[in-house]
Amino acid sequence: MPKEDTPQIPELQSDSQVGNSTGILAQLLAQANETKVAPTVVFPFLDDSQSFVDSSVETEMAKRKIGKALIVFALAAAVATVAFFYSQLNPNFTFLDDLTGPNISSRFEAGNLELKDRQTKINMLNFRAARLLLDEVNSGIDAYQYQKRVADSTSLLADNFKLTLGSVQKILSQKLGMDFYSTKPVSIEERETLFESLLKTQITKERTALLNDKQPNIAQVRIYDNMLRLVQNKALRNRISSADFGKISPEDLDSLLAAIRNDGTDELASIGKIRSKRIDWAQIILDIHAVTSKADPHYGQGLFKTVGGFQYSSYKFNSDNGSISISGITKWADNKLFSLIMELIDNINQSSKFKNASFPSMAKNQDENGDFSSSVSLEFELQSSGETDPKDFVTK
Amino acid sequence: MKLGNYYFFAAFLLILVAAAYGVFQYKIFSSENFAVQDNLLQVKKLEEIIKTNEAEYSRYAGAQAQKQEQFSKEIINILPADEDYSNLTRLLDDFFAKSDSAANPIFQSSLRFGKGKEVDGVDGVSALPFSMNIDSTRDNFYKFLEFVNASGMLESKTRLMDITNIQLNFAEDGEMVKNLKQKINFTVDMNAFYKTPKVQR
Repeated sequence: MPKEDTPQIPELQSDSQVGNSTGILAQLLAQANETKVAPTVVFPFLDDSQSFVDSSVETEMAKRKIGKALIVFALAAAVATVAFFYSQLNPNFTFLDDLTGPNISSRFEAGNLELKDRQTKINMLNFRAARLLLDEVNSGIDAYQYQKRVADSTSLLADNFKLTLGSVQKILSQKLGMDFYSTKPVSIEERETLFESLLKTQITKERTALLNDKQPNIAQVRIYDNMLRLVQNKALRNRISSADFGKISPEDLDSLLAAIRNDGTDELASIGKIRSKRIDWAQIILDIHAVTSKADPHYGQGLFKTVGGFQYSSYKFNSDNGSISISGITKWADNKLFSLIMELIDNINQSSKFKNASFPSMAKNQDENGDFSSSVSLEFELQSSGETDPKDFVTK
Repeated sequence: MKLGNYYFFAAFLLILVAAAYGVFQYKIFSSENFAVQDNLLQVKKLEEIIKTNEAEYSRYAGAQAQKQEQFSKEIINILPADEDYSNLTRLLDDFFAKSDSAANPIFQSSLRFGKGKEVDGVDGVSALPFSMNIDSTRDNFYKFLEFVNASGMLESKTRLMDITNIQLNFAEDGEMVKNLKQKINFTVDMNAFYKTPKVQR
């Protein structure tokens, strides 16, 4: 390759010649000439235009280096940030638990669980107390009803009930739930539902533990059953919570007491169920007298032989189907005896106490005095209170 | 744009994203940290409430346990643990003896017991059927109905009973509503209730 192709060389040579004393440089130049190494590689800065380009490249290179370093740094920072927060905010991350203890998220969840657990314990105690108070009321209902029947004076017992129920009201008016930190918004209704569910779970858990004993304490198990039923009976809880015991009417108190009695499954509740189905036959007999008296105003007064009317010789009552059978005789001075019987049938059907009276076959006789008589065999049924019978509203 | 600038831009973007992510996560971290501290305080407060409530409940439950014991004794009278024919017979005899007088008689001429069975719809309770034939005055008849109606109340301390059938028969003159001394013969089918034994015999 001709030397002219390498413009730096003559200058370098001349320079070396001028200097002449720089033996090392001369040697290097000589070596360069001999080996035909392009001096541009060794001394690129010697050309002005090329020097500017090269300086720009170098700056770019430096920028790249710094840029790369920054990326590495940013990446490292990002990874560290993600790793740190992942380790702290993921409750499932337990890798470092032995070294640093549970992470913040685990402690947050554990704290929330602890709070819920304590609140559920308070709810358990509250419902136990409410249940005991209701049991106390329940055991006094009989005395109250007895006094009502016998003495018609129940004010002292009623006051005691109101006082006790006031205490129950204080307990049941409390919210089951409490404020706790959550990553999602929780409405009051959702919170109440959550704590009610936790309470039910806790009651069931303790009940099961009792049942798993070798000799389970059945009385205790029943307390848990009663508590659970009270938790589930939201209607009764709301009724007690919203009652105004200072102004409650005797009728409303009676109705509330009946609801309290029905809520129990103890012996008293069972007894109450049987008693509520019992029929007051003495009252039924009085009701029969009342409907008969409408057709025969002198019924049962010992005037049958002289005035006529109805005379019953037997009653048959059946509690299972509420059927009533009456037999006897009827006597009337004029010929409209069958109409008299029909009037009695109508009176029975129109009464709100009875229904389905029938008298399908009739036969009458006339005695030597000219009076007409007929045997009576009535069949009808009890009408439940609240039951509607279209015949009740028929008017003659 | 030169590659170096891209590097700077990428690095800047990365730092920006990391910072934004970091700030967002820090807020959660900081909130949870605050919540953890606050929860500790709340738990302490709740534990104090639990202690107080437990103490109150124990006092009340103790008193209530005595009442329940008394109640358990009383309830045996109205709902015995088995058929308990003997005490039922004594109870009826006692009523008839107390109500009977020369001026106002009541006479129980027969007493027949049936076989006890569980009551439908009432868990844990069985009924012992029995029938009686009775001659009495109208007054005593009503007293008998009141005796049955008051049964099963803690106050009355009498065994829970109900009437399933009654047949009343009046003398020749028929029913005399106002005459409390009128003689009535009546047959009554009844149930006396008891707790269903845990082990069937």
